[in-house]
Amino acid sequence: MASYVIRRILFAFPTLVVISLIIFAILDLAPGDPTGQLPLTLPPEVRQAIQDSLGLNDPFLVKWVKWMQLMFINEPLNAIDSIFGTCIGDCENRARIISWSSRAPAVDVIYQRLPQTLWVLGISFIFGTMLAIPIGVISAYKQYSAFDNVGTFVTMVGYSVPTFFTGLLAIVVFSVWLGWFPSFYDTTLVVNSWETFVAQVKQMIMPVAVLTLFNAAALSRFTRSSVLDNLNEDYVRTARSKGLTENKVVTTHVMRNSMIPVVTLIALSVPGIFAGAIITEQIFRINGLGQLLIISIGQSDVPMVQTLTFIFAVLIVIFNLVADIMYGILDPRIRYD
Amino acid sequence: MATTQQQVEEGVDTGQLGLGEKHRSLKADVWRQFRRHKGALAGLILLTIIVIATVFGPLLYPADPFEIDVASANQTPSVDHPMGTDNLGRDVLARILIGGRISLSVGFAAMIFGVIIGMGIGIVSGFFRRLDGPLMRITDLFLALPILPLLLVVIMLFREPLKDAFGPELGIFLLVVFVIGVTSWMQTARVVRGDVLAIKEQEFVLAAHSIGTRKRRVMTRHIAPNVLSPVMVAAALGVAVAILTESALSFLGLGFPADFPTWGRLLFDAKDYLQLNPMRVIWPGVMISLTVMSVNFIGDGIRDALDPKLRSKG
Repeated sequence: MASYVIRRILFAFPTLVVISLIIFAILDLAPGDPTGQLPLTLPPEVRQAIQDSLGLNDPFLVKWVKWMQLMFINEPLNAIDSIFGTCIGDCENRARIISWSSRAPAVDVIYQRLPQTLWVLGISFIFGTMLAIPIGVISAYKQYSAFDNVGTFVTMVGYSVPTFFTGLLAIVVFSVWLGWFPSFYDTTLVVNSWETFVAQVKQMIMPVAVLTLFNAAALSRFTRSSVLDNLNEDYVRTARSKGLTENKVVTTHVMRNSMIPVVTLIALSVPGIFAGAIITEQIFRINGLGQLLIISIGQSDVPMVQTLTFIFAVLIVIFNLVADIMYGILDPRIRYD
Repeated sequence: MATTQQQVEEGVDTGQLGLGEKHRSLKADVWRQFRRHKGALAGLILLTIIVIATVFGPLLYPADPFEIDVASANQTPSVDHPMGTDNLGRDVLARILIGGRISLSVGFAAMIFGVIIGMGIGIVSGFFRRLDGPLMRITDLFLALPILPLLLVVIMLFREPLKDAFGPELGIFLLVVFVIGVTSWMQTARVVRGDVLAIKEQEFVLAAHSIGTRKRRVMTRHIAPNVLSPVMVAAALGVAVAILTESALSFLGLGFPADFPTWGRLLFDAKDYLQLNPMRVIWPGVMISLTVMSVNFIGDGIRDALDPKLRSKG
């Protein structure tokens, strides 16, 4: 198991390097120039000097390697220093990735906004899984029952209705008509008392519910079809014939085998979950990473967009890694290939 | 199309290939099973209605989707304006109809593009063992990309040059179709590869090789038709994904410009008038949801209909 985990982790690094190359290449090949916004009266040599100072005229590979050094060496070192209060090497003058619009280190801005995104995403993911797996298993076990028919239809609706519509619908119904929840996320709220905690819960309910519905719908569809595939297998008949209770057959034998494809599909749908989070943040005006991305794109803040897209890629690779490891735990055959 | 192989097998069994005898053909069996799936049938009918409405609706419905009439702005639904009017007094129904054309054509065009790439990569990767590893690594890599952020970035960066090259509508259309297609082929490629790996070991492929058929011809003539069934399911789901992605891009303000009202764009424009005119949000949202839902149901129906285990029960 340990060697399997290590192999998976080692494989994640080249993936990240190639992804960083793709992200970097897209932004680099694009037309446009950050000095294009400066006044036309600027003398050409000054413009040239600004471009040189930003390193814009270096060859592509040089720029990429420089950026990789910042992203893979300097920023992690800086993170370690600020967590443990250490100072590795020349920590005072270490180069950072600087946002063009805010002039602050991009990673610091991202670090401020990461918790909001992870909270909303994490809670909705946990709720979604907790809802989806029982629904999927019961639907499959009682195929064509009323529960299954209703469940299948509801999950199909949840799967088809986009988050930007359910979000707006939730605002129309619960904020405009009923007035139960605030329509916008109050980003300045500090939780320090019961009242503020209640306010925080209230403003998180709608975004979390919207994302939960989206996650649960896709997941319970996968779970249902996976359990259906397994229920007709020979090993289920064997388990029944040796006198195991139905409960035991379903929960230990069928569930464990059905979860294998579900875990794969969770891993594959992680980019979609992040996309859902970006849209949800935009609707409810949550000051998370998605909103930062949209703002930075609007401002053509290339270093920020590069860093953010890369952070999304890192998060996706980490989730895939977790899924791979889960896969190894669930299916012992996988570990030995 | 998807039935070639089984038809050939049936034909060989009974020795009456292509004589058009009245036996139960696979196509008819598949169609019968498809009709049995109520959701799929309803989806097919609904999608047909939506397509007809968006194709012919703007010709029949008299209101001009671009005519500004500030005097009658922000109206609720009435006889004159069945879906009300927007903040500039434009008729919402007319805009929904014309917007559906763009949304649906983006959906279908991006799906076709994505499916062609996916099928190509899947067949090549299943057929040539040497290319299998690299191509599958590329597929895995694409699956790990943060798609939506990259789409947003690409559109932001390449919108202006394409607008200059092809004009505002065609330029954005090509860009959106291209980026959605390029980022949505991976599932098709994986499924197709798996099927090709199984099919290429079968006797009829060996037979084709043995009579000296060229590799390219084996791939296009013998292998491609036999992987069409998973491709059809992937295509149905691909339309749904493409429509959703286009709407999401437009909703984030990075899709079509305001003069070209796609459903996502209409939703984006309507969200600022949520308090004043909530119905304006409902219409485009319902249209997107209904279209995507019917396409998803059709995909489910095709999958069930092509599954021989389910079909033989019926």
